[in-house]
Parts: sequence; C-alpha cells; structure tokens
Amino acid sequence: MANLMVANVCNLNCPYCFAAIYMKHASPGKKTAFISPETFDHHLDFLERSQIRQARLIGGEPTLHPQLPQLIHQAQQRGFEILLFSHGFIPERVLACLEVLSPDVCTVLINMNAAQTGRAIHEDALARRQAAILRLGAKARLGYNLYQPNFTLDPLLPIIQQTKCQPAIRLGLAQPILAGENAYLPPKLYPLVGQKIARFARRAAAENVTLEFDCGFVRCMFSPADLETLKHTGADVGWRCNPILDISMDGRAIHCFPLTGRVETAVPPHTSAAALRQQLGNQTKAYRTAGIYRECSRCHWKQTGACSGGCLAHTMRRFRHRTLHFRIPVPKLDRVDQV
Amino acid sequence: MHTQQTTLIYTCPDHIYWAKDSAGIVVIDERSQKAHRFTGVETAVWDWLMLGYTDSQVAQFTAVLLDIPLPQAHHHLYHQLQAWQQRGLLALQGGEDG
Repeated sequence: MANLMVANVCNLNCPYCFAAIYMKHASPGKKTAFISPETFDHHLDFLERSQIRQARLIGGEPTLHPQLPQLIHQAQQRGFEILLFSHGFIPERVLACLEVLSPDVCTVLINMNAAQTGRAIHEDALARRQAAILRLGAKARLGYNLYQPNFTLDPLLPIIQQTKCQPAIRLGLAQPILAGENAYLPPKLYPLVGQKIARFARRAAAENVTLEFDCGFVRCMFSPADLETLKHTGADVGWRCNPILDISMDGRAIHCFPLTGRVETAVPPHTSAAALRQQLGNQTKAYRTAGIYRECSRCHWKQTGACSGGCLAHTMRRFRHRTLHFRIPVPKLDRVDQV
Repeated sequence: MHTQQTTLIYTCPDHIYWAKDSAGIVVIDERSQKAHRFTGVETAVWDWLMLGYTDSQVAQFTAVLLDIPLPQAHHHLYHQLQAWQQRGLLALQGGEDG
C-alpha cells in the first residue's frame, strides 16, 4: 500500500486535518499545487515496480486537480485500481469521469466529517454531496474521522440506505501531527470513544452496515464485551500502526502524514515500497518499544505483537529532550577515590 | 592558597529522547535507533538530572535513597554518568577549570 499525493490544496479547513502540515510546507515558494501528469506517471512506475496494483490518490483534496480525469485514465490504462480519498464535494467533471468506472476498479472514500469544519457549508452543498454519493453508488464508501468524543455516526446510516453506497463505514482516529497543531483525539478518551463505537456497531449491524478501522486503534479502548460486539457485528478491526508511505509530489516518502518532517526520506530511482517501508521502519523502531500509554510496554498484547500500542505519533509525543548542562566537580571524585 | 578545581560538564545529545513508562524510563537514541530501559535507582537519578538538580543535590538524594554515605553517593553518581556516557546517552563537554 502507498498513497500518492496529487494535490496539496484543499477548499475546506478541517481542524484535525492530517495533511495540514504538509500543505503548509508545500504551499510557500515555487511548489505547485497539483502533480503533473509526468510526475504522476513516475509515481505509477514506483507502484508498478513495488507490485502495488492500487493507486490511492490523496491530497489535499484530489478532486480539485484540474487534470484528475486524465490522471485516473493514466492509472487505469496501466491496469491500476483506483482508491480516491475525497471530501465528497466533487466537481462535475470529476464526477462524470468516476461515474462510468466499475466498482471493481474504483472506490471513492468520502470523508463525512466535512460538514463539521467550523466553516458554514450551505445546505445545497450537502445535498449536492449526497447526490454525488448517489451517483457513485457502489463505488462510494463513507468514512469518518473521530477527533472529539461528542460525535454521532447515526446520520450516516440513512445516507448509506438512500444512496446504495457500500454498506461499510471506515473509522479513523484523528492523530496528532508531530510537527503541527491539529485537533486530535487524546488517548485518555479512547475508552469513552470505544464504548460509543461498539454501541453504534450494533445499530449499524441491524442495517447490515459494518465498521472498518483505520490505523491507530488500540485493543484496550474496548471492553471485552465491546470486543465481542465488534466481532459479532463483523467489524474489520485492527490494532496496527505501520509506515503507510505517503508519496509527496516532490518525491519524498513519508511514514504517514502525522510524522511529516520527522520520518521521511527521498524516493530514489528504482527503489520499491518494501525497501522504503523498511528504511522508515528502521528510523522509528526504537520508539516501538513504547506505546501511547505508559502501560503499553508491559501489555501482553503489545509484547506479543497483537497490538501495535497505538499511533506512533502519539507515542513519540510522549518523549522529550532536555538541554542538559550537568556540572560535577572532579576533586570530589578524587576524595571519593581516596576513601 | 588557591586550589584549582576541574569540573566535568555532561550534556544530553540532541538525538536523545526519553519518556516515563510504567516499567521505568525509556531512553531513545534516535541516531542508533536503540531503546534503553532504566529501572530502579537509574530511573531516579536520570529523573533528578533532567529536573535540573545540581550534583550536590543528586548526590544527597542518592545517599538517602541507597542509605549510603555522601562521598559514596558522589562516587555512585560519577560512575552512573560515565556509564551513560559510554552508552551515548550523555556527552562530556570537556574539562573546565574553575
């Protein structure tokens, strides 16, 4: 798996945005806002030699790219499946391109938080988004990022029923950008959120909708009963944190958005995703001894590898550096040596 | 008569990060990607160092903690610092005449 960034701009301003720091880094100066078809082709080469058959297009907001239909066509011509991450307010020219693709080769993951950006989004726009989901049908899958404890997922169920999109909801935990100041869900609130997810999983299952977990979830945020519920409802749970590989437009491989600027490397010609993943994994392996909680390093699930210990960005935020100037006079030591 | 006293100055390299853990203190060397886990007295001494206590204070605390005479506590501290230096967790800035 590797994500290809195709745009470093977005027309929303979500408080938890993982890519905000990347866009901040990328925007000033001469950097362009959109990937060129030529560079995109090089990135497809990278996927090809890495034997990755899915082109996962991320941003910013990829659908703002004026040549996105061309990029999609390029990827399809080379036999790639498409996974497009979008806020769902999709321009007509892009929608028309996506609409004709088969669900077997294209999925559009729509972030349903987008109505909660702190910025007023007109009712018409929300209606247009729902109409877009309807047009995408089985190609659309809804996603939701949890960044505060007072969320509700219930409004997603009627949208799934009405639009006939995929009967699944992908849940993400908003993680802190190590070098940024985005809104994120503090780990101490995880158990509270875990309860709410399990309760919602039951309601969703009643409508044949399953839940899928993105990275960073931890097993201990759910009670044993809630874990049973998730299992019973067919939720696709995982307690993982790995280098995703976000490939930037300027040719850097980033461990994942939260670690932008801290754990990344240039993508040399002829390298593969496996080699990059290994390299980025080596850059962070020492931190893997710990986890998001103080208790993680003693946890059975962490020690046996059944749980990653949560998001590495959270773990790394627990660590600090101190500038130390500790003076110790030698004569005292000499006296000690004579004792 | 003035007696010159040499002072050693220990610093913490930029690539050293640490965190408290339920099992002790975890110190990460980002350069070598090694994790060091401290337990017991080592945890306390590292913590005192990082809290900014002076050598005299740390020696006093160590003496109380281990129930040993103060000169022996100084000795203990000295050897602990040397051990951390050898593991690359601290660096010696160099001798200084004062």
